[in-house]
Amino acid sequence: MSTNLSIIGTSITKFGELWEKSLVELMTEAVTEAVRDAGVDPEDIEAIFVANKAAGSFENQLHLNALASQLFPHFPPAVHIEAACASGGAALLAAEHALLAGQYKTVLVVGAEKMTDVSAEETTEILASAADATRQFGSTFPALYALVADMYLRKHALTSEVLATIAVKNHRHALKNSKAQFRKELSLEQVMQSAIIAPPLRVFDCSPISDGAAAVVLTTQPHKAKARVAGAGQGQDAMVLADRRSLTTFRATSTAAKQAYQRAGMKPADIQCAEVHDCFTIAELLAIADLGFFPEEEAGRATLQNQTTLGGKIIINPSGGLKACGHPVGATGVKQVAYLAELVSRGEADRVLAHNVGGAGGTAVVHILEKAL
Amino acid sequence: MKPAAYWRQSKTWQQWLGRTGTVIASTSIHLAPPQLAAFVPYSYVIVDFGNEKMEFMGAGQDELRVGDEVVCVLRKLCVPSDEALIPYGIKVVKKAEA
Repeated sequence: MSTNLSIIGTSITKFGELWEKSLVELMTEAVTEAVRDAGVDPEDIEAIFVANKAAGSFENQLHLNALASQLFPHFPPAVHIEAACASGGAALLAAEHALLAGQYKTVLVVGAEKMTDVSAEETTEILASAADATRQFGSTFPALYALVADMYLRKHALTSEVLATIAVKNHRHALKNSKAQFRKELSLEQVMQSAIIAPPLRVFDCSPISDGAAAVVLTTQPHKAKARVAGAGQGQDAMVLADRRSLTTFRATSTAAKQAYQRAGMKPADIQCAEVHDCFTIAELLAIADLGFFPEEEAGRATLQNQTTLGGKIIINPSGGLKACGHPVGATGVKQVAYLAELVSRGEADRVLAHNVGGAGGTAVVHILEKAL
Repeated sequence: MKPAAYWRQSKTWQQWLGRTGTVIASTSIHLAPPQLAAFVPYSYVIVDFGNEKMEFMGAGQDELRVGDEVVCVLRKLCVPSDEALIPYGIKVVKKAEA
């Protein structure tokens, strides 16, 4: 991107089942820490972009833009962006577009979700609102991804071991992430013998139900930066799986990735590590091919041969991903970018990619960050 | 299901009833929203009808597999409460059992 878009402040709350914290408390914690981390005056924040999927259903709480704005003494203008589990990525894009248009110089993006006050069955129902309510009646999110997994495993003659390998790897990665919901190693056997949710997906193939928030401060002004936004893109596809041309690839992801690579002037081989949207293990397999890291027919083998972890070709989901770090849906896209900006600022990587998906691939947002100039 | 939403979805029944197709992807749902919990485990499949594809719940607890020939039938969609209407809609069953 021609204008210099910098990430100057980040924060991620602890993810997990946080009974002692409300949605507002999570948002407040993330916002306060990101502004402090950026080293700007709170009144320098000219606008706020709030990402949240379903507080209206989970907490009967809407008007989140005003909730976020009142955290500041000067009540900056704020909007709420919803794009299912890609709300975070979409809010970041909206913020970047406002900065690139010159409307604002410094803005804040906060993503938050409070999911654990309702039962797993109710959560399943609320999350199903990201599917087509009339044309996918009776579906659940695990079931939609299970259909994709069923097609994928048969097409590439793979077994569910490849899915379990992803769960084991992402749980291992989360061991060193203090914000992660699960910091516990899993064995292949534990994953492959866990309770069936929608075959071939088992409970350890699914990301958890999580509370959490994350925030990022972005600016176009000269300022000490943690990372630079090199490129971004957004893709869409049919919501109903039956309407798609292919079920073993997500067109929304490849469209978003193509735009992001082009804007960044980079290619997949330039990326050293990526946070990809592994809401279910199968989603990581699709992502690493759709993002161009491996050809589709090699993604399974690369996963089984540890090419997606430390010492491999590329590190996928160093935070533990949605699978082990947790998936407070509205926070996830912001958390991915915040986590990667922190990695870049610590010098652990120079060029990184975040991949955020809404629904079962109806929306995808890709961000590429690089070391600040 | 709200009566108006139920009436709207009933407008599509005619389009599907009696049509036959082949299952091309299949799973079964073991954790469902509260109003569907009494049906679990139920199949959820993508059916190829030749000129178009569609997703449907399987009727009953019959496991539908890839390659199965299925037919669209009218079945209860949710477990009704005492006061609410009894919602029906399109599901699929194996052709031999229709």
